[in-house]
Amino acid sequence: MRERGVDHNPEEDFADFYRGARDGCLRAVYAACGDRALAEDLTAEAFARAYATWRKVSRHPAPHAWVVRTALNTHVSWWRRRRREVAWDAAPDTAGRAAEPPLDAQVMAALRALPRRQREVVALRIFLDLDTETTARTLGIAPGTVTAHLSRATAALRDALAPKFEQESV
Amino acid sequence: MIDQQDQDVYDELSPAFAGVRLDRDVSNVIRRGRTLRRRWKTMPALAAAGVLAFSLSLAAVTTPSHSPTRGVLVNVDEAGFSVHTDAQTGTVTVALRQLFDEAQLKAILAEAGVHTVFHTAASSRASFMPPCTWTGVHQSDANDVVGPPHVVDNEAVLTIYPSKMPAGSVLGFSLYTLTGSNGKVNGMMVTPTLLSGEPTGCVIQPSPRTNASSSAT
Repeated sequence: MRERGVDHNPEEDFADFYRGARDGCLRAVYAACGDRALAEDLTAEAFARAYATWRKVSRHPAPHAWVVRTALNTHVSWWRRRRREVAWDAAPDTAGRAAEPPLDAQVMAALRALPRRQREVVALRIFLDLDTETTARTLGIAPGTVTAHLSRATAALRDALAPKFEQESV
Repeated sequence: MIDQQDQDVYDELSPAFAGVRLDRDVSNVIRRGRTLRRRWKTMPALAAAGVLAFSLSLAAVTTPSHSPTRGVLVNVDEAGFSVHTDAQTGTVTVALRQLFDEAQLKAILAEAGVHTVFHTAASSRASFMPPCTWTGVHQSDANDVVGPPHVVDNEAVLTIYPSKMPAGSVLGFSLYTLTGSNGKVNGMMVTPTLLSGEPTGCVIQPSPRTNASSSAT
C-alpha cells in the first residue's frame, strides 16, 4: 500500500485508497442506513466527493471515516428529497437484487432497531475499527457520548441476539 | 477493555457483513468526482449572479397581492393531468398521471397564475439520481409554495400556493419517471424548486452508475 498524499499520481493514490477502503465503508454505511442499494449509492457518491477534494481528504487522519460520514450526511439530504417521490406501484423492486447473498435477518433486525446515532457509532467502531476519539471527531460528538452510545447499543444488540447465541451454543 | 460478552456481539456482527462488497469500478467514481469538482468551481459565480437577479426581482415587488387567486380560475381535466383552482383559497391542485403533455400543462398553469418550467428525465428506480440543477437563476426551496406530493388513485397530486410565489418567480419541476427492473414505469420523483426567473436550462449530475435521458420544456 502506498503512503497516501505524497509523491504519487493523485489518481492512482485515490484508486489505491478506494480499492482498500470501499468494502469496509460500504459495510459501515449499510449497517447505519439498513438499505443495501441505497448504501451502495451513498458510498459511491461519498467516494466521488472524496476524489473531488482528494488533496484535502488524503491528508485527513481517517479518510475512510470521512467517506462514511459524508455518505451518512448524504443520507439525510436523500431522505429530504425522498419526501418528493411518489410511486404508482408500491411493490418492491427486488429482481435486480436476487443474486445478493442474504444477510443474517436477526443481525439486521437488531441493528435496525437501534436509534440512528447508536447505529452510526456501531458502524464506525466495529466495521471501520475506529477508536473512540476518531469516532467522536467523525460524528462531531464528545468521546464520552460515543462510549455511552456504544454501551447502550451493545447492550441492546446483546439482548436482541441472545436467542442466536443460545442456538449457537447448543 | 472489552468485555467478553461485548466481544461476542461484535464477533457476530462483522462476519454477517463479510459478503457485502462494493463492486463499482473506480473509473466511474473518478468520473463522477471530476464532474462534482467542475460543478463546485462554477457554483460560486452562478450563485452570485443569481442572488443579484433574485434581489432585483424582489425589489420590483411593491405591494403584496391579497387576492386569493393570481390567474383565472382553472378547472381542466385532461387524459394525462388535471388542474383545479380553489376559488376560496387560491390554491391550485395538480394531478399528474404517468404520461402527460408538459407544454400543455405549463400553458394551463400559466393561466392559473403559476409560471412553471419542466425538466423531465427517465431513471431506474434502483439508481440514486439527484434532481437536476437549474442554471442562470437563483434557486430556493419551494416547500412554502408546493405541498408534499402524494398519491391518490395512481395520480401524483400536488398543491401549489401561487400567492406565496414572489413576482417574476418561476416554479421549476425536475421530474424523473422511475422504472423498475422490468422496464415498466412505476413511479415519479418530483422535485419542485422556486426560481428567480426563467432558467437557461437544467443540468443533471449523474451518480457514478447512472445515466439519464432528459428534456426541458
